[in-house]
Amino acid sequence: MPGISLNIIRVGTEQFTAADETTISNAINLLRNTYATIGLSLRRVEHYGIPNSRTNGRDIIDNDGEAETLTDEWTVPNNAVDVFFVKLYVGSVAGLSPRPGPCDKNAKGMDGAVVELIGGLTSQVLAHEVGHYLGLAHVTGDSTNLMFPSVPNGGTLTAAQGNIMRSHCFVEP
Amino acid sequence: MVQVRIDLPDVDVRPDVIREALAGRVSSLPASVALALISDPQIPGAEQQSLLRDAVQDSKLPPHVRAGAVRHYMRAGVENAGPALQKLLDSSEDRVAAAAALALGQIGTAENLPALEKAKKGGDLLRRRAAFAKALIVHRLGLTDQAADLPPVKAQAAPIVGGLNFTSVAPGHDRRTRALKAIKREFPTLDPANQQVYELQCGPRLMEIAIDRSLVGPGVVTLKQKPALAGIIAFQNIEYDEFYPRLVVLSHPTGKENVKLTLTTLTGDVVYVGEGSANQGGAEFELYSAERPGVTPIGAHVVITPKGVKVTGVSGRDAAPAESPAKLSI
Repeated sequence: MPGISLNIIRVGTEQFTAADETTISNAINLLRNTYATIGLSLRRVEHYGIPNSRTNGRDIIDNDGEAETLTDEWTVPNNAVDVFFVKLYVGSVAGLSPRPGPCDKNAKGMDGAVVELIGGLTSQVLAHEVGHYLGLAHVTGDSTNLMFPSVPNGGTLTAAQGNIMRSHCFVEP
Repeated sequence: MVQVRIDLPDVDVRPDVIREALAGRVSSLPASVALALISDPQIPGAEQQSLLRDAVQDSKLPPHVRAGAVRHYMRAGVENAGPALQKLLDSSEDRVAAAAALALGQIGTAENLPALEKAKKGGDLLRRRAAFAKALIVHRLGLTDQAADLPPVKAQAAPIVGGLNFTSVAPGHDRRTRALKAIKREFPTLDPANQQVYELQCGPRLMEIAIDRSLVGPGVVTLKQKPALAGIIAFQNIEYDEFYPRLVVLSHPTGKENVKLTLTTLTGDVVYVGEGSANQGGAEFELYSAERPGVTPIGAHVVITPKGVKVTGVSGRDAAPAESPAKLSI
């Protein structure tokens, strides 16, 4: 089965509690199970951290511009999707990603997904944002679909969405 | 860029529930969602302000929740927010104090400058945010008797190969209005009626540049006389066709007719720098990218004449190399 890899980046490493780590672990598992339903596996998951002293306050994301700047400033140089976990995304937004995300992470513009740690909802936010990175658009007419514009939702993916995701340049055969 | 929003079913927006949720005691209502719900129309205005005031002052709340509350507080149009924000500069939590400093930069007055100067002796994040807040106030209000400490930066030396050209044009009324509305949300003291707006399309990126009308035409000479918040640049989110302010343009006289331009993010990170001159006839600047991880090189030419502003230039396709986070063994 073709697969993708993730770089899980904690913004403000020291602030992440054991409960936060469980939340992240659960989120990765939900992504793995959801993507498996459309024939996409999760391969490597590498873990990274930006210490408090280097976050420049971006552990709290105030607007889309700040999220974009975060992904511009930090990148793991490999062929995996960079996912930045932050403690708070001000407002009702819980995640942001480019669609589709670039394969050259030094290219101009946003080049990673930003996900707010938001308890049990984090799982769907992660799977949703990585879905955008892999090319999926919002599905406004079906609240059972993972790509419905808000969470919680039904969390499902269709075969057609699987075809789009598997065609992303980060997918390994 | 595509967002996902939280839309919880059966949310109880009673103020007492919101208070509990902010403290992390309502498992079905995350604190960040509770913060956003404070502006729900079901909650009376006075109660909204009370909830926000209590949240920013409650030292028992997690620092990131309080810092988020400071941002909501700044945007809520609370009367006399300045003294409460200034008091927060003394918070033992660096992130809370830093958020308060940033908010003061956007809505504060000259009265807040001594407190911000004092805060520059605080933690690392607070020190940087306080310095930027002070610079923002000095430029917003055109104060000539105050120093504004913007960090020194080097311009990128890399040549731009195969770049994207851009030239400013006038935007349509709808985009102008929406961009100014988004800018007003972050800079409540700005009067949209006094702004001229120019539009730049660079590849897929659409930007609206709001420039104070008083700096165009005969007023351009003020650029060589006093610091100014010369412009605010809002970027378009293509997916939603919404705008969000991304950069501020600070101008500062450096002697005779010479003027320096510094373009920063809303958190004070210098992204572009420029130099030029201003006199009765107009102004002219060359702009370059700052040497900073993740910043795309540009070369731009800005001309201000009695007729208006023209921006032309070229942007690279690749950004300066980003930093790599440390690998963890988990």
